[in-house]
Amino acid sequence: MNQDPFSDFLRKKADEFQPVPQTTFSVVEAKMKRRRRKRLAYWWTAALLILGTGLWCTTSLQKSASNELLRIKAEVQLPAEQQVAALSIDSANVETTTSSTRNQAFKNENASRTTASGSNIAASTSTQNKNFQKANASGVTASGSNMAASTSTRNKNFQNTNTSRTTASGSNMAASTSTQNKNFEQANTSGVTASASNTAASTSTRNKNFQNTNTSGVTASGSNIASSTSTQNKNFENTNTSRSTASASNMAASTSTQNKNFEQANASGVTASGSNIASSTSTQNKNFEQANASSEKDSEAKEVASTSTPNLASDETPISHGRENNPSISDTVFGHSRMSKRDEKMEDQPQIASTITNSDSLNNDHTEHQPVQVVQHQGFKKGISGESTGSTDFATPTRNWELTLGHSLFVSWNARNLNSSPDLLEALKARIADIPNPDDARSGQVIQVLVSRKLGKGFSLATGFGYSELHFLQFSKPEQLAIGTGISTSLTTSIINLDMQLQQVEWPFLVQWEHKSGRWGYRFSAGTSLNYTLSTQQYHFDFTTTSTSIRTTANNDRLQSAVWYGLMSAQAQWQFLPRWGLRFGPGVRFALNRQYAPNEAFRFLTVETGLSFQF
Amino acid sequence: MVQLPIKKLALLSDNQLIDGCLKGDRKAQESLYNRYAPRMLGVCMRYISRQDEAEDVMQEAFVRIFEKLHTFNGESALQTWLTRIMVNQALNHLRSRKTLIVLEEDEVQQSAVHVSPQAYHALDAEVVMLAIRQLPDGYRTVLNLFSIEGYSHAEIGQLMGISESTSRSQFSRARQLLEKKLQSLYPISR
Repeated sequence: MNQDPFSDFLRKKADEFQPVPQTTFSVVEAKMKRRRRKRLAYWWTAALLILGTGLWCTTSLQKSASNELLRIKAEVQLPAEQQVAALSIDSANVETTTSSTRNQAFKNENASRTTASGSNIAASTSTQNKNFQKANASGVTASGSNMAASTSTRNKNFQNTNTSRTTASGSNMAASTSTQNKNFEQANTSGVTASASNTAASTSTRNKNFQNTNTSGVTASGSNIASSTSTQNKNFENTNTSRSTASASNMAASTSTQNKNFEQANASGVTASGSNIASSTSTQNKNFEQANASSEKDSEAKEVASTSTPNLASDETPISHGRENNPSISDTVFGHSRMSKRDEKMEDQPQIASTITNSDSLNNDHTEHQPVQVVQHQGFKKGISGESTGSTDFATPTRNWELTLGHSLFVSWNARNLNSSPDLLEALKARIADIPNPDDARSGQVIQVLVSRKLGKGFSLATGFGYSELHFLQFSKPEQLAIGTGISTSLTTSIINLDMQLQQVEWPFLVQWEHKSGRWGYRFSAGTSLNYTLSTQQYHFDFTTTSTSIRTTANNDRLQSAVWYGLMSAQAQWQFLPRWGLRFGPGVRFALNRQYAPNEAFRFLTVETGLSFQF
Repeated sequence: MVQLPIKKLALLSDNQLIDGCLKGDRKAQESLYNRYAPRMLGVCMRYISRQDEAEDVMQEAFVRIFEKLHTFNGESALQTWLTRIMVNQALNHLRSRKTLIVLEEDEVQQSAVHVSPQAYHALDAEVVMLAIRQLPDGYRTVLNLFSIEGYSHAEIGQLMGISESTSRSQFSRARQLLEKKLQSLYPISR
């Protein structure tokens, strides 16, 4: 302390100086609270930052580890090409799901006897997949299913180069919402089965240069290629030589508008079925060319049928066709009424009218190779010579209406989960004795006639009559046998085209009669289910992920309502689709159901099997 | 915890108030504030000329005091500890305002003769403090730190980031300037 007189004087005066503050303690208190909140926010932010950084680091590490694993696999694969036979490389689920964006230069080079399965590669939200290449040598099975599915947008240069004895199935490639798929190329040589089903399906818009070059012994089935809502498909080329079966059904179907340069050059021994090519609402199809040589079986009827309007670049090429197996072509394809409305335009082509409207003329024409020209379809060049056989699989021009007949036999068994107390068990047994539901087992058959109408934009409405015959059996009271029948009405909403997903609401109503007890009752249920349906050339898989229904059962004086919640069920069927539209085969359905009812809670495992067919 | 009325709290000793504050007693905090706020405001106003600004500094210092009260070990009197915090807070404020600039050039005429402080004893404390507050920031700070707070020039040099000799010369000039101001307020014959 400085003890000089001046400092003492100042200290004394300073001690005396005590002004009155204008503010109270509440201001300080408020500042303290604000400061506390600020500190809390700071710590939260810091914690979140640390957490986020940790997550990011973990993800990065996992990704780099995955890439490293791929690199190691690739390194391991090299010596296998030279030395080790029967090496199986599973690169499934590579870069799957959600957030992968740029996968460049993904390459699988597989040597002999290698199985490379690259399923679900870059699925869901991947956007830019460039240069996906597979070079497979002999004895290779390359299955690239669901590649770049759902929301991928740009898939360039997808190339499958398969040599002999190769099975390349590139189903559902770039499906659903992909928009730009360029240069999809498949070059298949002999002994190759190439099935490019559902390629760039549903909403893809620009698919350029899809090329299938198939040589002898090749079965190339490019079904549903760029179907439904695709708009610009250029330069689709199928070049099939001898002994090839090329079925390019439903190419660019329904709402495609601009399909240019669709070319099919089929040589001898070729069965080319180009059903529903650019059908229904397509408007501008330029330079559709089909050059079929002798000994062909050609069924390319009804290209650009019904509502298609001007087709440009009209080269009037004489058509010599074989329609003798397609007597109803005039009715089913073009129709009298529609053509008659255009009589004025057809004045200059009298032979066309007769050809189109008179099926007898058709039968006669094929031997004389009379030129046939369709007014609405100017620009189609048809060069068909020699014997041709037709197909009648073109009876539904737009497929807006569909008739479905279904029959199924089934047996189901409920495995009751009675993890309840003995008292509750007894109480439940007492209740079960009075009601036909739940059932221990049931069998029956379902006959269904369903008419569906496509409403566009992926929606369809189905209604119909269903006869259901159910036999209920309860182990507790075997004498109770109930038979029910009823009708079924349903509204079917297809979320994505091509049966990729189906959400349906249905209201089956059944009237039942209990044998022996002689009681009448009814069953009414309403509910929704979310189905995932995957169809390939031969198989039809139906997965029902969730199913909820409210079931009300009444017999005479008793009414019972319950909520059923099915967790999952699956059914697989073999089918002849899409060529014949017939689906047939045994289906096994497993369903885990849970019933919620007043004072009761059951859980069931339902195993249902049976035969069903649908066409 | 039983909370006493604010009037009874005013009768408690500093240590009892500190205990109450450490237990989160809001009334104890308020009582401590009411007890020391006028004196601490006086400290702040010696460094910061504007009263509203000085009150802001004092409030911030009290926030820090309540937060750091658990670090008070009782080696010095509470008032000394509080004053030190107030001074530091005021210096920080002046630094942030960038007004703590020490004038290197002579702005006042050197005056070899100091008037005895006894001549100004009759002046009110408010008048003396007003004269101090009218000094330039640099002079005022050095004068406060040396004469009133009792820091050495070496400590002042460290606190303000200046040399010891600069602190001495600043103090000398501050004193001359203050005496001149006091003379103008209360003329005395030499």
